[in-house]
Amino acid sequence: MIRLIFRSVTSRPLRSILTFAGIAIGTAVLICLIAFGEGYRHGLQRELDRSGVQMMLVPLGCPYDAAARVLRNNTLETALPEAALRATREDPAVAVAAPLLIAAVPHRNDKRTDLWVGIDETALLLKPWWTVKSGNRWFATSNEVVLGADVAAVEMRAPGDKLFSPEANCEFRVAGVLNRSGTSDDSVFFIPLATAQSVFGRTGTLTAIAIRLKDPALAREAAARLQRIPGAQVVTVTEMMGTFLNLIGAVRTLVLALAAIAIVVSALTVFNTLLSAVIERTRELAVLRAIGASRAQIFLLLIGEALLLTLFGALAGIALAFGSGSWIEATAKGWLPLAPSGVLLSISPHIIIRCSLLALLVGAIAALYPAWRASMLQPAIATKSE
Amino acid sequence: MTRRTLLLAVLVIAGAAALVVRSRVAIPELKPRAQSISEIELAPICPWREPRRDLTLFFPGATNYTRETRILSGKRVELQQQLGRFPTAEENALLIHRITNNAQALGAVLVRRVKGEHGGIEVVTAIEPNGAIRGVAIQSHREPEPIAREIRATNWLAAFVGKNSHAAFRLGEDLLEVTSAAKPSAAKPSAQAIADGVRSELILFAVAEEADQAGHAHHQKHP
Repeated sequence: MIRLIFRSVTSRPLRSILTFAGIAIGTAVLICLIAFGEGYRHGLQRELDRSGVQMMLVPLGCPYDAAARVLRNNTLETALPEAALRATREDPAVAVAAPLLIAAVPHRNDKRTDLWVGIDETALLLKPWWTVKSGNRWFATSNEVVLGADVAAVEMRAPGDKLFSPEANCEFRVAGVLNRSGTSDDSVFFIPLATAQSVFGRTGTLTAIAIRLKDPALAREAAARLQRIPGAQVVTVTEMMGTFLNLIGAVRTLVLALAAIAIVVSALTVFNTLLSAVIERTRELAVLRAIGASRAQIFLLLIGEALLLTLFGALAGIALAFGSGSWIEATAKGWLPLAPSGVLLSISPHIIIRCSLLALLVGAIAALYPAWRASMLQPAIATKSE
Repeated sequence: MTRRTLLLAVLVIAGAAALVVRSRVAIPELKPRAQSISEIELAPICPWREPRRDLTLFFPGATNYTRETRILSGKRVELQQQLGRFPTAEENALLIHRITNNAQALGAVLVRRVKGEHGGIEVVTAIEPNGAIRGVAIQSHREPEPIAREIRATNWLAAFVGKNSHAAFRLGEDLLEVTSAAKPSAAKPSAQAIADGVRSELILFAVAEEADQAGHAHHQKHP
């Protein structure tokens, strides 16, 4: 039986290859889509969890855009008054309120931008995972700087070295270098908040306040109170996550529709291939029936052909998904409003098995009618002349 | 197309798929055998930020440039001899920008980051086809203005022109001194870092070119 199945598939090589390619593309699209969706959700959750923040107080404007920018250490055009920090810290539900002053300093001649973030001691409470590669985790004096792993490598700095900011005309001493975290912190110069306000001419203002609550269940009432602070608005991490996932969800639905089309096309290809094979091989199948093959055996022969084509197509699809995954991820990351760092396309064995089984199922379903038709052939056809 | 070819193609694809899946999914993360081996973290490659500006300055006739990465890890002994120190991990590879005017080679540009007194300094070195310096420019730095003025001074940078990998790069002897009469110049450590960086680049380039020529001669001997 297996030899017969192989022979049937290989007897029409071009048609088999086309069918096989269609299944491979459909499977690859499906795997990439599911893997990217899961990877994005986990990555976003990980990044938001890692930020140690439950809500952000940001200046008036689009709260999600503001929060996304702040989480990626990007600056905002508007600022919060420093009085908002006092009001936030006085709120009974707030455990930690960490002020941030973010300054992006472009070097026009050098075509690069430095990201300076002013923080106070409360930032350490929100970033307990911060570890230093060398030096200290905190500033001993007001003109010290803690460097992210990338900037330390680019500026070739170690603790104790000098670091000058030509734009702010200010010299710092490197207090410490952070271990690589895989977040935007790797590209940041951290300095004391008061120093940042002074050297960047933003005394009395903040870019945002990161908030951790005493109890996450108090989020709703705390948000309602904090929302009353003049010039400020609250965005919770849950809302942010929901918004980003909704944005992704819309794209995902579209791509899922494309994947569904790919699967339907694959199914139709299998259907077409097998139906053509049945019509072309009517006499051959009738001979099989005449020499004793049962209807069930003929039926299984055709189903076997479909499964063989689908199996190899799915294997090729898996290889294609791995091969093109990094390209798809790089392209998709450019479109996303908040792309978490790290690898997003996590093709797990679970996804591979799920997609392969789906491909096999689609193949088997598509083969049902041609297989039934083949099994209904009368042995007498074999005796008819051409 | 024969059945055998089709079968072979299917088997090859299935085999490739199995290998890819195995390499991505099944193989556990390899750990160093010795716990004392520390993680080696390389600095990001220094980019060439202003090719157009530098080409206009050093190779006005250039029509094109191509990038070429040379792996020098097999030349560590020669590098160590010529540099007078152990090559760093970053020096295992050299990114060369080959400058051409149509098909004619005009020279090369190398870009390197050196440790300045107040931050990284990115140095662009333009090299003649014979390995001598055609020009040096500072593309990025974060030195205070008095130091920046000295290390960007045209006459100080001009003293590099014509030097090759065998030349000495001592400040005040082979290159101009950056110490001003008023006070000992704070620019000296950064200037020395630039000089050392340019010399190292020239040596790396010369070793890479020698390896090329040796390979070429070998091919000519044994076509």
